[in-house]
Amino acid sequence: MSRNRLAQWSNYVLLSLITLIILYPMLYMILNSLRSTKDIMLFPTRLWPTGKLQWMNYADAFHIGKVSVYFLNSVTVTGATLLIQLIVVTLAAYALGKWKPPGYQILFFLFLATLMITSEMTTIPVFLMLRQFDLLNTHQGLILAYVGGGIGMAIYLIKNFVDTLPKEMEEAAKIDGAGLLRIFWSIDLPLIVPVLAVVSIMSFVGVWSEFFWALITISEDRLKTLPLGLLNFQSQYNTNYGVLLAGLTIVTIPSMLVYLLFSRYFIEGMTAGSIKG
Amino acid sequence: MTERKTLMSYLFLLPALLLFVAFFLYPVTTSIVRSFTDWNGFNAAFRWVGWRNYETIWSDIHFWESTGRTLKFAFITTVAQTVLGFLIAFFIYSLVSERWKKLLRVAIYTPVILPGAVVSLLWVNMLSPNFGMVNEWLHKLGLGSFARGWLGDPSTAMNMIMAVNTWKYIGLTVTFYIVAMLTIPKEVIESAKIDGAGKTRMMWNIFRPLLTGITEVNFILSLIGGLKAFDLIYMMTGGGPGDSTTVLGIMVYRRAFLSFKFGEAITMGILLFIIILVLTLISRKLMANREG
Repeated sequence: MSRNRLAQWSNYVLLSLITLIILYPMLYMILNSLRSTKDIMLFPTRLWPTGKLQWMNYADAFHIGKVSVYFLNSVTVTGATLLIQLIVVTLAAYALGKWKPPGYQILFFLFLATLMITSEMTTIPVFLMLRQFDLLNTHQGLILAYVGGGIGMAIYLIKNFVDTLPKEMEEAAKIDGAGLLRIFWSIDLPLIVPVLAVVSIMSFVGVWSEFFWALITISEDRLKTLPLGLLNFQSQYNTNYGVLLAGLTIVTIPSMLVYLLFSRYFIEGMTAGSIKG
Repeated sequence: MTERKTLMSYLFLLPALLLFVAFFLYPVTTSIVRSFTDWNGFNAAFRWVGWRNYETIWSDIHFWESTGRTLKFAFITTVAQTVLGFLIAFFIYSLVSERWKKLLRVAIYTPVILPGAVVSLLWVNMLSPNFGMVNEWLHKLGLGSFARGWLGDPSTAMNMIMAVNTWKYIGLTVTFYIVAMLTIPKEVIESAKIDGAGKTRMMWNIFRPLLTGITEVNFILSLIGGLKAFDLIYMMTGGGPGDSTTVLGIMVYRRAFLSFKFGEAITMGILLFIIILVLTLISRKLMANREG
């Protein structure tokens, strides 16, 4: 009996330890984003804020720290990327999975092969290509790079889903004289919405936090996305911890919301993606 | 009808194919071809120089040092992530309380979702020498003599980044393991229990062998991630202090975008790709053998 009790206790200790290590940094970020620097630096430190909560930190981050500008840029870039990517990959994956034109196996293989290519092989030529077309320091260039880089995975996921579409409804529709586009638009497209959701959520998380491409293509402050903008934020607010942490919290909120609302899709997308091995 | 279908298909495929050419076919071939030229990225003109770029890098001591650091980073984070990930997943899996199980599964994946910039700046803040949370805790626990500028000290900077990297990505490993564990038939586990298998025996003799497939996926995913590491390192130390955290990703970036030696950078990128490919193939082979 006592051995059982011991096991139970060690379970609880482990449980709290794991939870603490994962969540403490985030708790620290949120709680300290509401404190004045003076309060944070009080010794001995405490986790909970003493005194009034400094909501001003958020206002400062937004206006003086220009998070409002970066936030809008991130929304524009992420939104445009998702929209364009979704259209391009849905069309391609549908044609490959449903209409199977001559050579479709080779084409599908080519898209799959992009998953093998690491970014180190493509970054510099793509960067120079964007420079050639005067697309450095523009959102269009960044969006193009994101859309182009993500097609392989998205086409793979959607095509596999299209393969499983039922045929019966289509037969019925054909008898009714519906054309190819009608069948695509009003019968099949609604059926593949679930996989489109998985793809969009995965892209959202990736693009929202993307750093490298933003770093090499954007140098003008007014065009920076959040991850990049946060970096000068840090040097600017090096000693103003409260405002810095408020900025970090603002960036985190959209990703967290998407994750908590759609966590089921994350598991689905990940397991589907990993089967390729 | 079939003709129309074919035509329509190619029309549907056209945008994706254009992107494929612009973002994969063209850059990959350009990278390979240009690595054999003296091209600098600015002039259109270039001359063939054979293997000279490769020789330059081959005899560059900094390249080998970075390669060493990259391998160390990748292997340590991969082993830590796989072993710890397996243990944590098993622990969560065997929790009795469904509510805790659910809560932990959601919680452990949150750092994976956090943008890299947030993770980096948050940990830079917590590891800072002056008011950093880590040093304060050490003082509180009476271990004040260990307190230091974790990221400013060449002997600890790399270890700290590896720890933060593991903290961020372990949720991915754990989630894969739990999903796989849930597919193990209940009868197998019950019969092992009846045979009197304890937790350790259960873990080693039942779960480990049944999960080799997912172990391979986890191992290779973290290995590739570790070999390509850039964001966290760039934002936490920028490769310093000194060169102590300069991995290949950082070196390629510097060569290209700070010293503008695009030819050398491209060549290094190709070498990194080859390293990733070879190590992935080797680990697949090794794990396949162990399985058989």
